[in-house]
Amino acid sequence: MTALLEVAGISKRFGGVTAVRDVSFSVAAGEIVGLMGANGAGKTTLFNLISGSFSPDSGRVLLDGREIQGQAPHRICRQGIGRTYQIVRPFPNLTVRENVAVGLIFGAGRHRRADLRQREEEILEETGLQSLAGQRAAELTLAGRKRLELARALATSPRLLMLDEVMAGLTPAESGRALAMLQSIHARRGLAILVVEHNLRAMMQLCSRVVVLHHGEKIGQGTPEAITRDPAVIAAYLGAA
Amino acid sequence: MMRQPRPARVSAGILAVGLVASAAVAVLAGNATLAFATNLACWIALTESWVILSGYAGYISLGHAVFVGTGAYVFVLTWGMIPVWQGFLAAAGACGLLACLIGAPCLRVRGPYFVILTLGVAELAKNIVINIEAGLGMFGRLLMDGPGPRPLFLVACGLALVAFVVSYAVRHSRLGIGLLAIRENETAAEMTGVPTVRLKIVAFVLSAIIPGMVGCVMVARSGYFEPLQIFSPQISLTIVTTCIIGGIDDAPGPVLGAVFLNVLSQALWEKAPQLYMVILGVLLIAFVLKMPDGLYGWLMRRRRAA
Repeated sequence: MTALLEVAGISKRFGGVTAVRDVSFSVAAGEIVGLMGANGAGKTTLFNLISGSFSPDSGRVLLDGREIQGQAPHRICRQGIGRTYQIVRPFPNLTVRENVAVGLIFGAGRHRRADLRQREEEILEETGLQSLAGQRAAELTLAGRKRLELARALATSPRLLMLDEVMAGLTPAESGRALAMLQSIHARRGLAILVVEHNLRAMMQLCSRVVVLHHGEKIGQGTPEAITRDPAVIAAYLGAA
Repeated sequence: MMRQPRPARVSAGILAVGLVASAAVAVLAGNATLAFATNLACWIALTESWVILSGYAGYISLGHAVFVGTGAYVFVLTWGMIPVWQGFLAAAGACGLLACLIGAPCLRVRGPYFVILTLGVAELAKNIVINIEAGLGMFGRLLMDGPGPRPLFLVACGLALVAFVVSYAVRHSRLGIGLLAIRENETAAEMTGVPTVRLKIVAFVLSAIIPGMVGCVMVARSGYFEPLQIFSPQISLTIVTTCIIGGIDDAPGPVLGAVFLNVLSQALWEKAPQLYMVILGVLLIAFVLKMPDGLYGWLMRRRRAA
């Protein structure tokens, strides 16, 4: 069985700094994989390489066995990879509904015009944004904007959803709700999710498999339980020699 | 409770008023009124075209005179060789093509860089035309036996009408929401599947074609082609000013801005020619500070609040 997403030996340098070095992993259809690592480990760079913001210096990214590395971000989005940003990037002067509409219109789902309204409602309901549909995105709280970021990514009909710290900066109660929302979205849509999160408990509950990065290199992967006992991971996280 | 004014209703209203006013002017007006109305129609056509790229997608072009000038130049060059209406089409085609050529490199840069680049390209084009004309030993070209003021007024009205309808249609289409997404956050737009480069070029071409034909009207009215005049950065600046005053978020904005500025400058020009530019300057500052979303945005907000 070929994986939905296959990252093969990917590297990226910025000047003299190697942000990502020879990283390989895969995500199966419907699977939730976590990406762990300290600040600067290369998680966001890896996201940018997969979503097309950067081209890798070497290595390949395959979606359903087809190479997509180096393609423009909008093409990659239309092939079924949606993402959120750690620092949210809503369309501030558009309403919540319009933000979602952009994803529906330009994403991977080829919706007919007549269906748009219905699809908008579904996404807004799924992400709990119905009551805020008419508000400008700039007027939302951080938690609201994080949910909108997720809603807009979902609207592009991804088969793989990449979440870059959707819970960062949220209160524990808000994180709990976000976690429940992600689980129900996953259960309903059956999409694959690649998630970067510093909230370890959320990672443990969400992911069936975790990939650990350290200084741009992959140092381990496995189930959450196995990973937390891996000596290499513990050494990287606690700084032991 | 009052019904909220919808863009569609406001736009339909403006269209109806515009058509009735145009018909009335065409039948009844004397020369002075006709000249004023033709001018107004030209400005509506220019500003409505400009907002398609610069208002909706937020790529402020400070060089739209290049299309007015190029259109006029093509019109003058083809004058007498092909029928007048084909001259208009040739101008439109040339400007669409020019927008493709300029847009492909220029639309890769954002913000102030794009603004400066458009200004630079327009000045470059102006100087190229000046040099060509000088090299040919031409210092201005006369246009003999051009169309009369009334047919030109009708053409100008037609251009204003088409520009308004296209601007409205773009704003409320899928293309329009893609352009707004680009304006709001281009990186996020790309990540959401918006083919940003393609949309920007389409918008640029749409915003260039009608100004080219307005250039034809302008040069046909004056009967004289002079590159310094028709490529003047003053034209580009006035387009921007008019749109900022009127509002750049939907089709009614530029119309309001053009009507407001033209009526005002007409009145001031007659009553207080010395103070004309001073008052205009103060007004512009007041608008930027107090109504950043323009007359149209301000009116809509007032209606909502009421």
